[in-house]
Amino acid sequence: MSGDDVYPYEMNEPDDFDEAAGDALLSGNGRDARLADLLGDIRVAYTSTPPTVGAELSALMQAPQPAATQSFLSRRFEQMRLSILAKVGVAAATIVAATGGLAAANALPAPVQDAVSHLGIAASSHGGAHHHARPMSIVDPTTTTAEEPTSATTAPNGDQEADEVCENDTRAADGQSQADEAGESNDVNNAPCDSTTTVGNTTTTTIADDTPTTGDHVDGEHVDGEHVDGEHVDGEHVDGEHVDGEHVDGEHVDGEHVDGEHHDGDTPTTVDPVAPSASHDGVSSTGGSD
Amino acid sequence: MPSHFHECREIHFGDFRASGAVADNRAVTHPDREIESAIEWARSGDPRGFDILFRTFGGSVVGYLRACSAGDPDGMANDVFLRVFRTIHTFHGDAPRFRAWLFTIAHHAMIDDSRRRRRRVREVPLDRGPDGAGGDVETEVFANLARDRVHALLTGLSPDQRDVLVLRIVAELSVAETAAALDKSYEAVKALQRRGLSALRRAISSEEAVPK
Repeated sequence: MSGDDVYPYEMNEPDDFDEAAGDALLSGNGRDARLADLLGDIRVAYTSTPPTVGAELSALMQAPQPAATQSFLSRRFEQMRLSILAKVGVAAATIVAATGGLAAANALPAPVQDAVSHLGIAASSHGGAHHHARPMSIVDPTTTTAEEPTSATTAPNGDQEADEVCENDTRAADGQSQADEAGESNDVNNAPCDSTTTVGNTTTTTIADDTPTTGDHVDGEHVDGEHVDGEHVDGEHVDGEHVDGEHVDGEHVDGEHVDGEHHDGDTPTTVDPVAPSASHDGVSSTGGSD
Repeated sequence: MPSHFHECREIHFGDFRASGAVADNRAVTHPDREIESAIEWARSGDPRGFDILFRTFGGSVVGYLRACSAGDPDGMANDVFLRVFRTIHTFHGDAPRFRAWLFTIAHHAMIDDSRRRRRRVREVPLDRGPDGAGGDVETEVFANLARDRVHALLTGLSPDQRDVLVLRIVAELSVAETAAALDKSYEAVKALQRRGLSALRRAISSEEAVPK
C-alpha cells in the first residue's frame, strides 16, 4: 500500500465501516445521519452545471465531422485492400517464378510443360515423352547442323507450319503414331523442315532436306564433307595410308609409276597388295616410291 | 439561470434522495441506451452526440475537477471534452466504459494541472465559481460556508481517498468504473472508500467536539 492511501495516524485505527454500510451511505440509505448529510453536501457543493463551452470546443461540437471518421475508415479499408493486393501479387510472382524455373528445367508434368512452352518459357521440344529422349544440345550459332528430318523442333514464335510438321515428326520418331499414319508421317519426314530453336541467347538452326550429307553429327569435330579428323578427303586424292582397306597408296600413285614399273596411260592403276599381278613377273608390287 | 441547471439538479439530487440508489437513479434519468446512442452519434461526427454527452457529463467533470482543487475547472473541463471528442472514434464500449474512460482523462488532466501548479506561483481565484445561489445574499453566504466546510473536510483526506469518494459521490461512478478510471483494483477502491468514510466520520466528530 502506498503512502497516499492512508495517513500514518490512521494506520492503526480500526475501520468502523463494513462494505454494506459504506454502500448504503453512498446510496443515501445510511444509518449515520450526520455522515449522510455530509455526503449530500458534498454532492450539492460539487455538482455543477456543464462548463461554459469554449470556442475550440464549440467549433468541434457544432461542425459535423464525417470526414475524420470516413477518412479513418477509408484508411483502414485502403490499408486492408493494399495488404491483400500485395499478398496476392507476391503469391502470383512466386508461382510464376517457380513455374518458369521448373519449365526451364523441364521438370514440369507433360501437360503443364506443353502449356508453358507455348508461352515461350521453355525451350524444350513438344511432347511430354520427348523431353527425356535426348539432352538438349547447345550448338554454336554460326554452325548449321543437319539432322534427320524426324528431329523435333520448337518454333517459339508460333511458326504454325513448322510446328505442325515437327509435331508429326515427333510422333513418328517416338513411334506413337498409328500404323495408318505411318505413310503420312513418312511423307512428312521427307518434307523439308527448317525451323529455329531458341534457348536462352543461343539460336540453333536446324536444316532438314533431302540432300545426303557426309556423315552425321560429329561431336566436337568439324565436319564439312571435305575434312575428317584432319585428313583430306576429296574423292580423288588420299594422303592417308588406308582408304577403305583396299587401296594402299602409301606410295605415291599418280598413274604413271607403280612399284617402280612404268605404265602407259593416264589412268591411275590400282594394285592389289595381296594378289600378285601377272603382269609383274613375280616381282613384288610393293616397293618404295620414287 | 439556464434551464438545464434545474434539470441537472433535479436529476442528481431529487431522484437520488428519493430512490436511494445511485445506479438506479442514473438508469432512470440517463439510460445507458441513450448514452450509447449519443456515443455512436459522436463517433460518426454527429453534433447531437457531442451535445448530449457534454450536457450529461459536463457538470460531473467540472465537479470532480473542482473537488480536486483544480486551478481552472471550466477550462480544464473544456480540455477534457476536447480530448474526448477528438479521439472518440477510437473508443469502443458501452456507457459504463465511456464513463470510466471520460473520468480517466479527467483524472489525468487534473494530475497534469497539479504538476503545473507546483512549478508556478499559486493563483487565488477571485470568485468561487458559477454555482452561487444567486440573488439571496443569506443563501449565498450559507452556501459558501457549506462549500468551505466540505472542501476542508475533503482536503483532510488522502488524495486517493478523495478521488474515490468524489468519483463515487459526484460523478456517480460504480466501484468498478471508479477502479477503471483511477487504474486501481476493485478491492483497492473498496478499501479506499471505506477508509475515506471513516476519516470523514472522525472529522465530523472532531468538529462537534470543538465549541463553535
